[in-house]
Amino acid sequence: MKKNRLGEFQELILMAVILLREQAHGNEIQRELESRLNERLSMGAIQTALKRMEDKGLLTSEWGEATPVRGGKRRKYYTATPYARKVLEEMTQVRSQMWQSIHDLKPERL
Amino acid sequence: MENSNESRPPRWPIWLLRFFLKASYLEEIEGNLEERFHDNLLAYRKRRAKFEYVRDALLHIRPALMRNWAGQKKLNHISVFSLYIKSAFRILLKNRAYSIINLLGLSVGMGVCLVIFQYTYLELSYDQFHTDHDQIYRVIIEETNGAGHESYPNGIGYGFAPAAMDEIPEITGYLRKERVNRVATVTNPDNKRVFYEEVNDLLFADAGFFELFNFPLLRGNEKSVFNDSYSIVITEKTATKYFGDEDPIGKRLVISGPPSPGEYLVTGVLEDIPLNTHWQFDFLIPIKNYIEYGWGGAVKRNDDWNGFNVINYLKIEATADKLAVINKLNAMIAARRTEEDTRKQVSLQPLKDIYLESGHLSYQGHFDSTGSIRDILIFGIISGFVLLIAWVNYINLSVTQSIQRTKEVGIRKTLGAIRHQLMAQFISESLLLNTLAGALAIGLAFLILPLLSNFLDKPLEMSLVRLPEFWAVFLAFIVLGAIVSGIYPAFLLSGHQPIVSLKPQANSPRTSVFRKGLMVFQFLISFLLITATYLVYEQVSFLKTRELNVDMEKILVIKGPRVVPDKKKGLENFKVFRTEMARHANIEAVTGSLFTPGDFWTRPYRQPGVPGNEAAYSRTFYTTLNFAETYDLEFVAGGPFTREMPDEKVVIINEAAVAAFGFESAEQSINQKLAGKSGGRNERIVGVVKNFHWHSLREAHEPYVIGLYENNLTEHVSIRLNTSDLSNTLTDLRDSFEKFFPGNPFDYYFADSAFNKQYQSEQKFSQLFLFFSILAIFIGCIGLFALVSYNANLRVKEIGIRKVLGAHVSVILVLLSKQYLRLFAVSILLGAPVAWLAGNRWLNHYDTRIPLSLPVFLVPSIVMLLIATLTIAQRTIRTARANPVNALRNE
Repeated sequence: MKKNRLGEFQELILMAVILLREQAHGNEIQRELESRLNERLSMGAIQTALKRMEDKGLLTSEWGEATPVRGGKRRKYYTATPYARKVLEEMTQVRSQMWQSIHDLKPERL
Repeated sequence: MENSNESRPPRWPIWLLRFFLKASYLEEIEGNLEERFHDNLLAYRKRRAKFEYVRDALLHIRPALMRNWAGQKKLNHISVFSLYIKSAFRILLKNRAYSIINLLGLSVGMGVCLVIFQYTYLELSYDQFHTDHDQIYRVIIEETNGAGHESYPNGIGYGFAPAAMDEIPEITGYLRKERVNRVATVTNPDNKRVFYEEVNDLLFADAGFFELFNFPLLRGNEKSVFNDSYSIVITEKTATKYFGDEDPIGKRLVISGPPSPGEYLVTGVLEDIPLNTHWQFDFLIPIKNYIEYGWGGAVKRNDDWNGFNVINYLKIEATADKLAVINKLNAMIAARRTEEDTRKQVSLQPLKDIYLESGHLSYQGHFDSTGSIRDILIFGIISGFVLLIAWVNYINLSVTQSIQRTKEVGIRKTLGAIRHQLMAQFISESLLLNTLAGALAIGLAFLILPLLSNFLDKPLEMSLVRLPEFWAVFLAFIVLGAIVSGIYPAFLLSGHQPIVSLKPQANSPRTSVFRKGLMVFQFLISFLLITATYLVYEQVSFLKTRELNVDMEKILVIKGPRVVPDKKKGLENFKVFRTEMARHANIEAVTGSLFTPGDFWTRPYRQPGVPGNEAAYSRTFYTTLNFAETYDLEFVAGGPFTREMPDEKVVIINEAAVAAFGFESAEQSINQKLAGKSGGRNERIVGVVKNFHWHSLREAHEPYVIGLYENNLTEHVSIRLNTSDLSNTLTDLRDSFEKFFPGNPFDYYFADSAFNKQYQSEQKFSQLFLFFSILAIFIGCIGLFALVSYNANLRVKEIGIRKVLGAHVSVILVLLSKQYLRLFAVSILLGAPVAWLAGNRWLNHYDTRIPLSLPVFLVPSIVMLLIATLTIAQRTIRTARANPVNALRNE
């Protein structure tokens, strides 16, 4: 379990990648998360998270089209691996179980 | 794009990112930033958008995204290196001609250096194999008389060393030695083997010889070999020479000839004397024999402090104060002073300095082998230059190659090679080539060494390869060479911009100042070497054609008889032999003499009235009748010796002697008397001859005193031939010699060859310079050729266009060649003053010398110009004559 642990930020990005499907590239991920979280994010932080997760085998990437808006640079599209989905599910499961346990506590303990 | 200036994000953050971040991330990140910038432009004002852009960009600089600063750490070093080597091999094989030329230049340079290094190593190792060599000194006597000062190693009698040992506690051992400048024959009476032994083969020495020095005895006991005065110790090779395979111990050897003839008993056999010692000898005889019986007992009859002189070696305790010992020795000599007007003091010369730093102390007559630190320096410097030229050459050739390799570099760079990887690659290539050259050089050294050995007349061997230290130095040299010669091409090649590398027409660097400098350096060294060769050659030829006033051509010298059982009968035969030979149809004149050209004694002479301390040191030798006729000396006063004159009482002198002894004129000196320094001699001058050159023309005319020695057997017989029919005359001479002197070996040589031996060192220098200059020119021309090719290649299109527009081949030739000719001129301008100074210094050693005139510099310049032009023309003519279509058609 320990190995698979995701940071909160990484988890959010991973989910964004899954949600965005074919559109999951750096800027789009940022826009998606910024709108959902309603706060500004640092591009550098997103890049770091993406690279780390790619290294861990949670994401794969491939080059997309180059556009003039990007100064002739290509986009890089990210896809979550099945392994990532598994890790995400496990985490969500642990989380919801724990949340359930919290609900089951006596009110005074809360 | 509208408002393009305003809507562009600033560039500098990208540079920063490119510097800090991993290259593989850059495209995505840069793209993201740009896209975001455009998004922001819509949402914010430009300034804000720019600010956001910069902020976003800078926030990318975080460890996870940064490039790997440790660079290659993640790569496997060994495999990367082996890749370099592999590609280096491929490149070497691809350009075979270039590789071979380069390899040849480098390995020849290195091989020559190795050989010289071996020679230097040997020269510097002299006399240092003795365990106590740093405690042993040779005593030099400094003699002051009046204003004169002389120093020599043999200035004191045989009483000195034992007394010093007795009186001075710091002295722990001594050795006296004596060698005699006369020929002797040695016979093994049992098997009748007889040989002439040269001047320095017999050595008289104390038993201290075995204590002080490490010459191991193969047979015999160190303690007892010298018990008897007539014992003799011989070297292994001498034992084989006289006794074959027999055991020589207890056998007899008969020595006929001065100073102490007699029958000796072999008591020991020494291991052959190693080459690196200043005394080479074959026979070792106790010095007490010399003192007791030398010169028919004359040594013993003389004063043991001032009479017959010997050379002394002292062993002084390592801890002793050398100055104190010298003072004690001086006091000891002063206490026994007999010659009032002469003061003798000692200085101590360390054993290891004797070979290389004796200077005039090693003058003929002491028979030590001598080396010259100057020669070693010159050798070393020149071979160093040859190596430098070889390296420079490598640089030039590599840069030439670079024109073909810019594409390779461009592709490597495009594929992601960083500069220091490329540099590592080029240095690996240079390392590979240097290593190959090193291996070849070792082989070459083994081939060249016998040549040098022959040339120096010294049995050299590559002993260095047995020393581990040598290999360490050698490897260090290869690495140094690889770096020295590889760094510049590496810098140059790895610095190309990939885009420029891939489009060579955009790449038109002119030869850089650095490379021009290298070229000038090569020309300069070659010029100096050629000038040296030419100068030495001219000087030697000049010396050889000078009027000597003595005719040495067609003079055959045979060695006089030594084995003469009956003295009186022998002398009778000697005279008859000479007269008989003089009557021979092919022989003009015959004379006997103690010495032949180039050899003499030095003795002080004065007029009887002149004080002893003003006696002039003169060159002296004795001859029989007919000497002046045989050697064709020209009399200015008086005449030759005649039959009635008594031996050792009459002399012929030269004009220099007339002046040195203070006579008014040659005529006036006739029938005047000459005395030795402290009286004794009483010789009458019967003739004065024109100054003649018995000695090399290096020296000025010295006073000569030639004495009559008619009633003695002389060491040499000089015979003037008037024929070119040598073989028949020789047969007659041999028959006659063997008839009169049975049992004596017949041995002959020519007087002029003996005389010219004095120019041996000059001739060797000349040959050496010639060899090195050929080498330097050869290597230099390779470099020149490479440089010319390089520049011609660069200008192929230019030349094509010029030709199309009507330029003549000759114009193009000039165009291509003139920059080299300019370099050439610069190097000659730089070289001429150096050559002038050095040449003048060298020539000043000679009394008779050529003037340093223009041709001395002109001839080498023209020779070089010719060689250089030929080399340049080789390449330029091809370029100039090429069909311009070929140059212009292909892009």
